[in-house]
Amino acid sequence: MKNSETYFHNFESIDESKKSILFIAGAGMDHRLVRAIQLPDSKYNKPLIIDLPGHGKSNGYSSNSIESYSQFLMNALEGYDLKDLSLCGHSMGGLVALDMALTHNFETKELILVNSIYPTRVADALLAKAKAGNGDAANFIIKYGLHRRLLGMRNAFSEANELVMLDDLEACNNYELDLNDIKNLAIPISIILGNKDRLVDLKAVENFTDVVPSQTYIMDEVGHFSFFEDPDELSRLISRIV
Amino acid sequence: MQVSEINTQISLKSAHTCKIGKVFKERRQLLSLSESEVASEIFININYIKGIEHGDYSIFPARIFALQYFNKYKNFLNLKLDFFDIYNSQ
Repeated sequence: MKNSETYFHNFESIDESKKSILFIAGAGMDHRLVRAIQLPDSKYNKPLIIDLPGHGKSNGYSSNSIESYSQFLMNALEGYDLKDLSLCGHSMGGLVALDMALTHNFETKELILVNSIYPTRVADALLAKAKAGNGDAANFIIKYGLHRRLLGMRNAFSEANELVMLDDLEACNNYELDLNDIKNLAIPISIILGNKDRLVDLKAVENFTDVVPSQTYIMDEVGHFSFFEDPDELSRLISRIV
Repeated sequence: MQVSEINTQISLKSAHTCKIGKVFKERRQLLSLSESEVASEIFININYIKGIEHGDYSIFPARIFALQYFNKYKNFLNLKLDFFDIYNSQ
């Protein structure tokens, strides 16, 4: 923890001579996203992640705006002089990563979207669940998003009373950008998808990759939660990319 | 987040995709590379390499994956080939 408001995970042991990756969690998720990610110690710092406001151990309130999350992370990172930093966003976190690069000209070595694509439009059925509560939304996402059976997956989502999931899902829905602006970013972009992911719109992937130069990787037998379904393969893939 | 089904049941193989696949295979063999060496080098599942070389795209979960891996493999072998869009030709 850098201060009492915001939770910084693994920031206490940064070695500037090593590569760093800032992970950004998806809707309703937090630093627990990276608990199984293992990058070689000799080359990489431990996975960095900052809990968004109202998520995990960070105080504050969630937002229905991707832009406000990217601004929050920009502010949070102000005190750190992180060189050789890459961004890796999961699901909604991918949109936040894109916005950091686009709106704030954040200097990242690499941008990795995991189970994520622009645009991300949320199904009405999921929004309805999110209006009922975080738990209902999490159960819905797990039901449709998880390919492998994983006990305890529910524990990766927010336990907050506030409608964090609803805010986050609306943030995805509300986010607008021009693909041509991404195309003009001089940042390598990689997209990692699960071949069993039913929550990512593959048509959107086609549209995105038609316009934006990028590399796409497929993880086999993985749904929307590659961080949990196959963390070893994902770690291997990320360390290959970065 | 949409909720969609991935259809992997359709047969996606044609004479044309087989011919294209043969070009891939011959170039790979010319470079004395095994399928597994290619898979490891460009980080593609070996079954996808086989799928492209056999001209059978039913291994891919969706068109976008076939297209992306076709291009990745093509660039690796430095081939000048266009993706035959069997998904939209049937």
